Amino acid sequence: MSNASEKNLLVKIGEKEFKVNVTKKGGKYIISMGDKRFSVDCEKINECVYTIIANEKPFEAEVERKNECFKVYIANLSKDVFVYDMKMVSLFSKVETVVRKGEHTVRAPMPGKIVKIFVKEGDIVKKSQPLLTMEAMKMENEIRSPVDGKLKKLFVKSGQVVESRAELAIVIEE
Amino acid sequence: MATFHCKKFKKLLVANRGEIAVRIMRAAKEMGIRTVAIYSDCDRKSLHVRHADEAYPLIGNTPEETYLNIEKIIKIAKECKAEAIHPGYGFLAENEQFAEECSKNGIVFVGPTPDTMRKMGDKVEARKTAKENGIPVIPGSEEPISDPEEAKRFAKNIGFPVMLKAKAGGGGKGMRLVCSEEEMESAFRLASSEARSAFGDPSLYIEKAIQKPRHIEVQIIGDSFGNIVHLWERDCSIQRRHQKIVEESPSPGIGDSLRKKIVDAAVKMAKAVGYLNAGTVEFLVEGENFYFLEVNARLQVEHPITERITGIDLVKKQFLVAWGEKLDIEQENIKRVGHAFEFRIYAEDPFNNFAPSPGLIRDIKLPGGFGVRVDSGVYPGYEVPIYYDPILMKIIIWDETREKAIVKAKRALSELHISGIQTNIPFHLWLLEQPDFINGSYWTRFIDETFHGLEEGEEEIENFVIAATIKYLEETERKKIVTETLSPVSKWKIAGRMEVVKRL
Repeated sequence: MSNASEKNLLVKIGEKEFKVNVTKKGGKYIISMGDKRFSVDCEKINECVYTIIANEKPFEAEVERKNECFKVYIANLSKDVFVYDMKMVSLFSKVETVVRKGEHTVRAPMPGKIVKIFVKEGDIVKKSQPLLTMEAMKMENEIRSPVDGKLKKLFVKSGQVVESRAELAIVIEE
Repeated sequence: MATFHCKKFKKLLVANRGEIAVRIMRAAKEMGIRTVAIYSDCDRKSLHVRHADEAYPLIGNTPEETYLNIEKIIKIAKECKAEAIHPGYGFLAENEQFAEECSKNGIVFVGPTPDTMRKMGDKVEARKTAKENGIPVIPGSEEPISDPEEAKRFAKNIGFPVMLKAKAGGGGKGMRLVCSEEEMESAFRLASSEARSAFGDPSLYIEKAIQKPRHIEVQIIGDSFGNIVHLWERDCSIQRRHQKIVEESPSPGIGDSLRKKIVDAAVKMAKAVGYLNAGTVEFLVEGENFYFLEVNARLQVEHPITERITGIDLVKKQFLVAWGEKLDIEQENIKRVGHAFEFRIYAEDPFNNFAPSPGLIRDIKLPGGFGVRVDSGVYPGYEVPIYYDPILMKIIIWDETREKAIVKAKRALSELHISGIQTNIPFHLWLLEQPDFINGSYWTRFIDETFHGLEEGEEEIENFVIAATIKYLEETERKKIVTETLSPVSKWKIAGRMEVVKRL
């Protein structure tokens, strides 16, 4: 029984983007990204641990779903990896550019507590002006404005505990 | 000696959490002392609770409502009839008021007397004592400074760069290097606020920053009979933003004659204040010059490397002197053998400017073998909370020579795996490849000046793409199967497939 299935995916790790073509034939995968092609064999050790051999090189990966992305862990490195089907991507990206042009969402770089807020909605802010201070694990970090502009929305209050990547504020570039 | 309480206690409350609470309980158990844990709401499943003979909730999560709350802790100690309290490091370890409360309630405080803590904990006071005893100090403000403007004036006087330090501080909290007048405002605000939340006191003082110093500290311990010994030095110059990351003993940066001067100065300082129990005298060293920095009137995070090279269990000695007994070690018998390193494993992301990385630990594989000690406060399935220090565990390495210890460290740290959260293990592996680290020529800002972040290699990133792609396909296939199973037709399909399987 040959169940060849092909997919074109967009894989995002931080700022990096990869266009990936994958075919599954029998138990093996052929994965291409850019000019590279990998013949991949994969076995599961348990629900989230995989032993993978890509072009004869073995490695171990732990993969689990975490909301909209995968948390992947290889050799003491942990990354949030986003995988989208290309068909969906072309649809989304059009909508996003129309609505979100000039809007910058400031997100929490880590989970933590909002300690101080220096601005209010409607304020004119300069690029890298401190907007608020977050505390996590006893260290305080200033969260700064990404652009010159106006503070359109503030999502958090002082004392509030937020998750990593939670929306903190929206700044409209001016 | 003022208010020293001692008796051979049989029940101990550990007023701390994580790896240090576990480490203290281990020593207590070996000495036949019953152990009591206290815990915040989010620490219910913490390892120190699972290690203890008894455990009591503190209610709440923030340090102020839990491990810094003197009233609650004393109340628990009295109710459970604990005869002694060990404060560990951080939290209330150097809080003289806490030590006094213990004393008032007839509880032995395993540490220095409140009087010593007051003298040593106040950095300004400690400097005065050092000066009076002929121990060199760094130029700086004798009194705490209360606002950024005053700080600017003072800094211009002694010249930039300067160091802002919490009056009540230690452990790198509330500490900032300020290189110019422009940086002062924001640095002062952050340092002062950090000092308030870490120690409950926002006062800061200023010191001239020394360009390329090493941070070298001396372990001391004293008993109630006036005996004070040192257990050699530790080099803690591998720091990031004043937070120690790697420590070693002996220091590769000093010769035997300077070593002797430094340990002698430490003992002199300790004798000057009639030091009781374990403590550390810290110095900054540049070339052949050394300056007194501060006394940490407590057990240090990095105490295991001293234990490793001297063969002396410091926590057990703490109990011994807290029992009011005489130290059973003499200076001339405290030898050091071989070389030890400590690597602190933090929940921090070295690929993302060391951003804190709390969360659920999925799996841990620990290193082992001769000369490898692991002091850990975590386990697979444990969720690292956001409220406290990012320290997860310490890997202590020993071998005959520094060179051999480095090789062993590489081996051990490559064996160590912690998944679910990002840790600084890749940073340690980077450090162990740096020529300046390997030949021992580093200083306190070595990391701040030479470490510019880690980049994953192309091949590593490709592996992430491959793994996620496979998982994605697996999920879509599973969804397909689920949908098929739900439709009536698919049952026939499954039956058909089963037929095929049977025939095989």
